[in-house]
Amino acid sequence: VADRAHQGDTASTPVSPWLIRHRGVLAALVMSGGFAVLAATTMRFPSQSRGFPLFVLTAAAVLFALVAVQDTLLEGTASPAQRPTGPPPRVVAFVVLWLLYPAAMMTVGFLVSTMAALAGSLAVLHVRRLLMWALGAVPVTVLVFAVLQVVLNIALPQTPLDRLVASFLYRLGG
Amino acid sequence: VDGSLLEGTLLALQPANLAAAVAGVLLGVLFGAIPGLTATLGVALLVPVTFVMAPATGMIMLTGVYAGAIYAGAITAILLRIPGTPASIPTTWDGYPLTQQGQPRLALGTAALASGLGGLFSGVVLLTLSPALARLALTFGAAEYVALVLLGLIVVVFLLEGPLIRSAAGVFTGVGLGLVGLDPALGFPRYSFGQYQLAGGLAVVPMLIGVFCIIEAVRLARQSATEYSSGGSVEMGAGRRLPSLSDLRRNGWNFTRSSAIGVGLGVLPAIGPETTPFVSYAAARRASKLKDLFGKGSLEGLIAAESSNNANVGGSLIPTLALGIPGSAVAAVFLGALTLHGLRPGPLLFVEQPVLVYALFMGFLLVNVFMLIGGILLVRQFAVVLRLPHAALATAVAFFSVVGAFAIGSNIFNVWVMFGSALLAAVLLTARIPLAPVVLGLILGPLLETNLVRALAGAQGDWTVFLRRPVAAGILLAALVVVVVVSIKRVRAERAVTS
Repeated sequence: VADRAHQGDTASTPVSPWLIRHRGVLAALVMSGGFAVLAATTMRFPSQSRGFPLFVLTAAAVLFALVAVQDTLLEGTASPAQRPTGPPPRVVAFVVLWLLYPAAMMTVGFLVSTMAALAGSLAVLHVRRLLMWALGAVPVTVLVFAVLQVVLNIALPQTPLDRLVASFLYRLGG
Repeated sequence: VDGSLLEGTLLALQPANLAAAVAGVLLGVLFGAIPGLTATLGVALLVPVTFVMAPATGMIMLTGVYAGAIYAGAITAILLRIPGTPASIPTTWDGYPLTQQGQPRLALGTAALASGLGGLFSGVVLLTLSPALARLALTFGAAEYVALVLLGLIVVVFLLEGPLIRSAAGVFTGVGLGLVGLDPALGFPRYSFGQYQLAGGLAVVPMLIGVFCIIEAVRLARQSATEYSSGGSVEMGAGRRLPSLSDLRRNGWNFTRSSAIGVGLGVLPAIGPETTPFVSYAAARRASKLKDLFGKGSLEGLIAAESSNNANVGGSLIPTLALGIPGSAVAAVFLGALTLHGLRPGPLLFVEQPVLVYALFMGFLLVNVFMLIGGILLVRQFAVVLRLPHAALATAVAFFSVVGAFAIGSNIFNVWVMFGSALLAAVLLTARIPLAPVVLGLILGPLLETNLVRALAGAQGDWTVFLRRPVAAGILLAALVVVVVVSIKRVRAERAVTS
């Protein structure tokens, strides 16, 4: 491997050490509690429709409770070195950005939101030669738009700009 | 059958389908060659693309992606000792030493040959066994289906590595997710929370994109913080591309045994291509006269690993198509793609759409031929993808996941379902619950419930119906045997560790 480069950015988002240490147990408890609540709601179902969901959801709640117990017992033996850290801030930013993207797509249309999301995502992940990659996002966005909207006839969210580009592409395709 | 076979063959040979096979293999190779991108991710990401294609074309392309990705995992395994997919871990053991010995071309050529021949072997088994299995399944009633699905779920829980309790929790989570929508007994709406989009149940494909693709995108983003790209340029050197005829003759039985192991394990639910090469590698080592060479650049070891993981692909499609029970996590995504096209995987598919089924089988054989030829001739070009930065890969996966989920019915609700599934998958992974049982539970849960309701309604609520029908009782007995045998083995293993 000749040119594998390391950026060395291993900073993590500040998260309570207690939360990080017990996150496996907490996740299992959340799942167990969630399934228990859903199992309780089956009491509102007609009696003929209740049996299967009640069995499945109760079993899931019990199994996750057992997983939580098992993890609690195992945690006592885990060394601090084995315990994970919080995610780097750039990963948190990456997740938030892509969560906002669908809402942005519905508001400002496909083209603008996609170009912004692609460039923003590359920027938060600190890609090298960002300008080159960000400029590359423009033709990629237009190409994907052309394929989905014009070739595959998938109705994408559109603003006047998207409609203008779409009509140009339709004319181009004859 | 003969007429359908001929028509299916002609359909598979149409230019659009040949192009789909080639495109599928190339895309699959791209996904498999990039460490971190898996076959499951490739298939899940491309399912929405097939929505606008004819069903046969779309399905042939997906089999190409599946087979191509499993093969291409060997490229980085051989050149960099980084398995491109989990199925290529044993490939690193002998492939990388061959590269160190200055024979990367031979290692890559052998891997392509073994993968292609393993895939062809499984394609022939798929072609001959699936129709027979489907004919048998046509005689099944609801009770037999309940028993079969239970066997599938029990195999998933007991044969997957790791604690039983976590696999079981995964299966019940999947079955629990399958409860959303109208119940099969009275049509009573369950857990739809007033959303009309949920009345028909959770959309499977967006969920699978969330579980497999968004999680991968986040992992790649996390990786980009510490490592720019997977690798760089690799010196391919000169030397021969393929093993000699005497090497091939010596490995005839090795190849057959490894492919048979791949197909056999592929038929079992949840035993995907990532498990089989370990079994076939161990079997090849046991049977070899040159045991000492294993791990030091043995062609036998490389052939065993590569032929079995690609044979597993065809094996996993047998229960998927003939019974509607996926043989692996990727096959579950494949099953979701079939339903997206309005097709109902299972024995009736062979009655209602025989031409399409045979076109798919012949397409799968063609895919393996293209993979074999392309693998041998183009491997040098495939290695270029190693230089792509993780940041760009993470961005591309996230973008195509959102766009793919949206493209299914031009519906933004599917995007939120995808993100919800990704969040659930993240919680499950934090609790160290494997995702394959969740996916199989999600697919098999509704099948289990519907047939359970039907079987009990037919028997006026008498639960002994499952024991009174010989086939159902036999399948349940097989499930019991799996439980007992695996439990005994696990207890013995634990005792051995303790002592």
